[in-house]
Amino acid sequence: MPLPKDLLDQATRLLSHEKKKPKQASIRRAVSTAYYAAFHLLASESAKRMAPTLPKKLGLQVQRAFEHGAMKAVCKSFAGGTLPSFIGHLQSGSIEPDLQKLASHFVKLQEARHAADYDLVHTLTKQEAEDNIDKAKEIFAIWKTISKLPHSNVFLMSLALPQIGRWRKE
Amino acid sequence: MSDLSGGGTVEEANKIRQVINKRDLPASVRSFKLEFGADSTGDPAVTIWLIVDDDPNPPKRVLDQTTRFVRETESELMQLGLRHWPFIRFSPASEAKLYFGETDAAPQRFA
Repeated sequence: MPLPKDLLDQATRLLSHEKKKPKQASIRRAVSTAYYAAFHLLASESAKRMAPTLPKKLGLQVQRAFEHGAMKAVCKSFAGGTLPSFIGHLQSGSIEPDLQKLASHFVKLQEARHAADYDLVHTLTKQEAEDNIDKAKEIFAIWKTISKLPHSNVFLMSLALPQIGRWRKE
Repeated sequence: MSDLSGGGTVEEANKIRQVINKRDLPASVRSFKLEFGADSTGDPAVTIWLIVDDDPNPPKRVLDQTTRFVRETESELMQLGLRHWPFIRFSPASEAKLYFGETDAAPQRFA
């Protein structure tokens, strides 16, 4: 997964780019980049499970179908530990705490990305950027440990096809 | 029933305050302010603004301490199942008075 990991590394570099006083542009791009690192990680993992390997770029084309708002709705549901009743039969036991945490971090990162890109009223602090980069790093770390869980499969398919759980689209 | 601006309720606000007040605020955090409203897609949200020192480049120790505080607080807030999704943000002290007026809590600090 070169692009997602490269984006994560880039977010970290952006934050330490200016040694004394980070520019708002660097802080804001760092937050935005951290979100897109997580977005592309989940989109690529999902596409990998859905798309055949040939033709070569089919998976990349599938990734273009992901919608931020729908992904957020799915993540909110998983973060809360429950799936819509429509697909409740796919849930066996509780949603794992790490998957809940990953989903919760994604929602928060997406909102932080929105603030970083559009809310110029509030100065974005280095603490806030650091916190969001840390969340993205946690998403990567958690994913390594839960990627093979049955609920993770449901999660990935729901991100790609929110219709399966009748999650609303934004 | 909402009884605070932005659609929040006193009950929700008190639950959030309890979660925050039982912890020591990190050294760089002076106080906090709750803001109920909607997130970027219109869903009910509450932003917990941490009012922080005007330090453009805090040392790693401070960043780590703050991140740890945020993570623990977020985790506990998620357990509450609030109607408003909680987001934690930061506001430099020099701007906070302008935007928020008086903040919610007297600071508790640890070194």
